[in-house]
Amino acid sequence: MEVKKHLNLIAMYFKFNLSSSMEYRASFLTQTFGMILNNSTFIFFWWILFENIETIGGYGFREVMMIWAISSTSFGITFVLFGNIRRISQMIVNGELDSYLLQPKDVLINIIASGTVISAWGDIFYGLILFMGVYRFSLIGLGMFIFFSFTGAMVFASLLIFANSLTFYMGNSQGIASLFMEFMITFSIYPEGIYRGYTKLIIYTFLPAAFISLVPARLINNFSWGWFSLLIGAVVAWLIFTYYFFRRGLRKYESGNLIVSKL
Amino acid sequence: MKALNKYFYIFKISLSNNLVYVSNFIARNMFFVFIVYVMLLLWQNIYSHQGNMIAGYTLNQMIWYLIITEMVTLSRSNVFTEVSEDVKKGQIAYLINKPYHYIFYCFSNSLGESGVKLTSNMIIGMIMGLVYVGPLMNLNLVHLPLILISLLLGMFLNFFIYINLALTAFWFEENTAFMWIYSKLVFTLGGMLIPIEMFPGWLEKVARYLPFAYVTYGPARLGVKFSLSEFFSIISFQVFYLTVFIFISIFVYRRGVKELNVNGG
Amino acid sequence: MSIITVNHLSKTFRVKTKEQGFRGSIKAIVTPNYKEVQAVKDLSLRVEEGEVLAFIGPNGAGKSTTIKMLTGILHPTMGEINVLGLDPIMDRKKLSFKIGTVFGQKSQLWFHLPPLDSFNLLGRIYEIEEGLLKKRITNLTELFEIADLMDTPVRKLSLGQRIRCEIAASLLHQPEIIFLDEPTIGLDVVVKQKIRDLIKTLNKEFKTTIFLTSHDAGDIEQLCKRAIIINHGQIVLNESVKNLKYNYMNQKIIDIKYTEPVVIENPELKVLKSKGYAIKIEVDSSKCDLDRIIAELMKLGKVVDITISDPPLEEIISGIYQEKAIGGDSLEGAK
Repeated sequence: MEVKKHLNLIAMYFKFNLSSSMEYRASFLTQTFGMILNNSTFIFFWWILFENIETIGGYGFREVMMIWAISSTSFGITFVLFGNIRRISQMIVNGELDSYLLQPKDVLINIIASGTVISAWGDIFYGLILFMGVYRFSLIGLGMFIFFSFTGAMVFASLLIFANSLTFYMGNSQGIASLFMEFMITFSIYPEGIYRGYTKLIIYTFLPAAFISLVPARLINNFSWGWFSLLIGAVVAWLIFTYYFFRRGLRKYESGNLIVSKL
Repeated sequence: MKALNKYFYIFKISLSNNLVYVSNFIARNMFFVFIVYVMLLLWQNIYSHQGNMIAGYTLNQMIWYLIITEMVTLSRSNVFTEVSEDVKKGQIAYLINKPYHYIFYCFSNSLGESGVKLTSNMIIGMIMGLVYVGPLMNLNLVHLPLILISLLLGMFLNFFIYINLALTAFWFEENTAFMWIYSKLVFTLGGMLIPIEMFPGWLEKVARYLPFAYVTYGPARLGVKFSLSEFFSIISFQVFYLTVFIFISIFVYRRGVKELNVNGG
Repeated sequence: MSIITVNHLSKTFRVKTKEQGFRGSIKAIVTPNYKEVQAVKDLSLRVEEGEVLAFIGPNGAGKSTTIKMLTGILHPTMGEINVLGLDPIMDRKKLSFKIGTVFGQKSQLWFHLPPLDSFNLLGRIYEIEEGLLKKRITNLTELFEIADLMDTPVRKLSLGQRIRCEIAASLLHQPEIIFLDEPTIGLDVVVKQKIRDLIKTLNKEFKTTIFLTSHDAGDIEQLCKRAIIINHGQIVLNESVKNLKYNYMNQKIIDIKYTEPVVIENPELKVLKSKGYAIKIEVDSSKCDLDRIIAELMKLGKVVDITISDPPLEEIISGIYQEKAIGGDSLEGAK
């Protein structure tokens, strides 16, 4: 029941944000296409590399494009649905949570869902196009791709909410949050084989980038229930932890008197 | 002398302004360390399968190459956003009739910001290189000043291209796309993540004539594989393109201000 | 019946302190220093159903902090709060259906969108049934005379238009209490009056309880029956506006400018500042007739300019302090 209410709220904001982004159609289109082009430049990098080298860390060109696709769509979903995630730290510092605390909805979901990032649509489409390009088309494949993009988005969102919520405890954490974002993106777009030792441990635990793209890529190529349960477990654990971490932090919220308007 | 003095003052103010944001500063450096680390992992893996020389670079040289290209790109100032905002919000109307040239005002301002970033990036880059792959092979200390000149020219070139793109805000409401495209061109054709020697032959030739390679590839190439003949060829390209973009920016600025006078701010 | 009860409420903030300069910044990261600031100290109050209460005090007195605790935004450090039988923190969501808030400095409308879009969204957030929402929007836009503004993006509205939309937005879910924090700040006299009239109507027609903070003595005089004055997080005074006016707000300040220097000899007038031809005078309007005083002043010379104003709230408060120090006779008398 609670979950359904949250989903309703997210859906409502999604429609609201989509219709207001459509008000500026030209901007919507340029930003979306711009992001697609932007992401495409990495194809160049990998193309040059694979011109010189056959496999890297056990991945060929196709596998690298696959993790890129999942990662990109996950990232896109996160920011299309929860655009305000990247602003949480700033909002806490400026005392912008007030209006959300005054409304009869879950504070965290109300905050993150009430904004969107238009260019993130480009990330979603880019991932989709790339996936269809490198993976022979099948409904099951596409279904898995979409499913894993959502689990990836949840991992990504959890970690960013966590990093932003540090603001409650230690003051402005925008720097840390954007660093975490870079970590998560970067770790999720390179072949798993290059990571060893502690780095490998980190991407499966503290910075769970492996669960965004690397584990899903393995599952799409070669499904196993063991890895699948591990993935779901990690997603759920991070979601619960982050939610709790934010709620605890909220007690320390100090509001503020800056003049603020909703953008 | 007095004329130069004011630019020096602007530089000084922006220098101390930038020292204040310590946490930002730390975050930026962390990013630098991190991105090179991932590149190290990637190239270590590649070299372990490919032997010790790829496109004429050893692993040691490849990592130092990447440290230098990152040094240039990460030390860039915020000039694009600042100038675009100035133009879009009409702030520029107040800056036009100040007793300095707007372009050079921005340049001195950027110098402060970039100066701080470059110094810290150099120190961190140096430590990182030593820790990751040990001292740079075959480095002759006599060449260092020449390498530094090329590095600074690369940064100046980067600045003047950015300011040109920012000034398009006079005509385009939404001009961030230009910045994206440019930064991606540096990323690819500029050899930021991959030396242009690894490109297919035809593409390498094209890249050598375009300005992007002289922002990042040029200084990094000289850094890891210095030769006097290459120094002169790279420096001439850098000076040539720098002059071109300085003139374009002055011209574009003049046209833009006229536009402002015609259409109102 | 009390609908807000507050007992021994306190709120302490921990504020990071930083030494100057680069070294200070480094130090603040390694070993941060904290200073405790008590924004609200042992505050108790009650608000009755249907009342219009003024909650006043200078900047930084703890007004906003108190309102924010009453509405569930801030967690109290100590003490109890009961609003409409609910605990604002534990029952935040339940309470939010029953209260409305307008923060003069914070907007609940989307800046780039027309108010109608925000109204519709808020309707969904407050789970108002669609037909009902439409009816309420029509009623409110009529009452607030904002029907023509509903399709203009908020960023293009004037401050006065925006604040009317803000208040209307906070009434969509028909709250039982409405908290208004500095609703008239920055508005011109005409708009201020309009807002005051609206607030009066609200209280009369819908029996909405109103909890108002303001800097403006005019707001308080015209709207409220009772005022609570707080300073440094504590209640300084809690009494009816009638008494407050009688005891403390009867001082008037007269600024008068003549064409030539004059000398004032009337002992009833306290000269605050005199530059010969421009004089600032304080008059106690409860002791002498303002009419007569002005007539007298006019006779002294040719008058270029004259304004009569209320002393700023800060002065009234310091007046209250002084009287308390002397023995607080009038305070006791007022009760």
